[in-house]
Amino acid sequence: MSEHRRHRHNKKASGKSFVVLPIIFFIGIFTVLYVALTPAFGPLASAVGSLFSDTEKDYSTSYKNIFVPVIEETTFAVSEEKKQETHQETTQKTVDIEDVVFPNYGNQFGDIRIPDCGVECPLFLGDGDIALRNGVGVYYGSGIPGYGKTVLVAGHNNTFFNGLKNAAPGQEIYIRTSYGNFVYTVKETAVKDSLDVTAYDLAADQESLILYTCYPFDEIGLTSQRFFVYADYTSGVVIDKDTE
Amino acid sequence: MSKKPTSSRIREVVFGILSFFLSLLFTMFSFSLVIGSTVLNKNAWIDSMNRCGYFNDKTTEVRNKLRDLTYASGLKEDFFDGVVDEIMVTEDTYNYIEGYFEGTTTVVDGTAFRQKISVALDDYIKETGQKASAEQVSELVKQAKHVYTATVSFVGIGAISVYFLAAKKALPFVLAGIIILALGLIAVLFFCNKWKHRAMKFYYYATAGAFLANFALALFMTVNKGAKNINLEYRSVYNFVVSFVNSVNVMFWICTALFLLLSVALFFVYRRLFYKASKKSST
Repeated sequence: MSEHRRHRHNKKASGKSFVVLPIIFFIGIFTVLYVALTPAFGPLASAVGSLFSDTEKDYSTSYKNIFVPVIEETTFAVSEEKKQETHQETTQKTVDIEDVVFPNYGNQFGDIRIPDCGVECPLFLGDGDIALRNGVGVYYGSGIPGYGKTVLVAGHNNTFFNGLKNAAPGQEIYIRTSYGNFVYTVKETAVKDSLDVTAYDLAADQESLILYTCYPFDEIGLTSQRFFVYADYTSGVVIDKDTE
Repeated sequence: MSKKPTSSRIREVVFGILSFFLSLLFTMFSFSLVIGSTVLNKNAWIDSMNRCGYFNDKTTEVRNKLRDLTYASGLKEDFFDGVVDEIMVTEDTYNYIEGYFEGTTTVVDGTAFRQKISVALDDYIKETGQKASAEQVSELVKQAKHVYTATVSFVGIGAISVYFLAAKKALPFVLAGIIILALGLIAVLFFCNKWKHRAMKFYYYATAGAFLANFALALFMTVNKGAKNINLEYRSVYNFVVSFVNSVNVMFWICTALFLLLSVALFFVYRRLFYKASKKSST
């Protein structure tokens, strides 16, 4: 074989096609699989895709506490004199809505105290497991204090809301948040069915506070009855929504 | 232009298309094999669960979920710790997966849990002397069983059970079909080429294409960190899914390595046969 011929054969033995064709095949394979499988697996793939996020999920059971008391002693008044003082301080304050840091779901954004019932615990936004394990929670579909809506708060009857069994009209409920302090007065208590949709009106334009827990208290078992405490807004900071 | 080179070129194109289909079949075979030995394999699920400490994590999660129930039901906080143990969770999960793969059930059987909690509750009420109406206790048992079965089961897999079983049943036939077709194409390429180095060249194209396809998928999974950013309700399930997807990824890397080795080997066989053929033709 001549040198020229041998060279030609060597060139043939490792030509461009050995690189180009596998790449073309690879593109072709994914094109064929995409066209063939998209109708069947497209919805499944998009459903699986929706499960993914940009960051790893945080499974810790800790919660974010954004609560910084406005004035340490205003809502924790122990004497009538101090209560009056609290009312005076809270009723006169106005807060721009832009200055209010609205809590995220699961945040502790305040605390609640009912001195006559021995209730004193952290207040969360949302009534999920972590919130109710560590305090009481504002139902996510209701309002939060100061926004002029119904504030619906849930808690367990064997832990933080056990004291509600002593609730009676006229008692005062103090709520402290990072943007201001609020006082509500118990209007009435009632036992209702858990599915009774007339037990609360979340669309009301007037601010009120409703606390609820399972009923009866101090008994073993689960029940479909709920104990409601209805309280009227008495005083608190005024959120100026006009600046919105 | 002479007649011979044209027919030769047509033959090259036809064999090229056949080797593309062979490449597609190789890729489908490796994908099916990986899915069959992982997603559709009960033992792979169990192995992954054992590897990532699933049962221990799941027992803790069930206890934590049930602990929330104690706050609402008047029981002491650690009441359910004595009711739920790892053996119970493991057995119920095994039966659940077994039933799912057999197509007999898509729900966790909470009978053993229900019996255990009923006995434990009776003892607790007698011991503490607390008030408890039969109706409320019955509701508590019902809720606890619901919490237990919901926590032990995998969310969403019940909905795809029909497709899962259909895929599991179809897989052996799919694999058999791919093997038959691939063997047919291999035979055609081998016997229709007088010079065997040419057949080796087409085999090389097919395996190299399959190597790139597997490599792309394995690389994609690795670069995207498997399922690390998946949002699942329970940490135990998250750990299981991440471990499982990692094992799928490893399988794809193994396939990639095998196809790479095969294609390199075929390339060298081709070269050897090519030089032999050119020697023969020159003499």
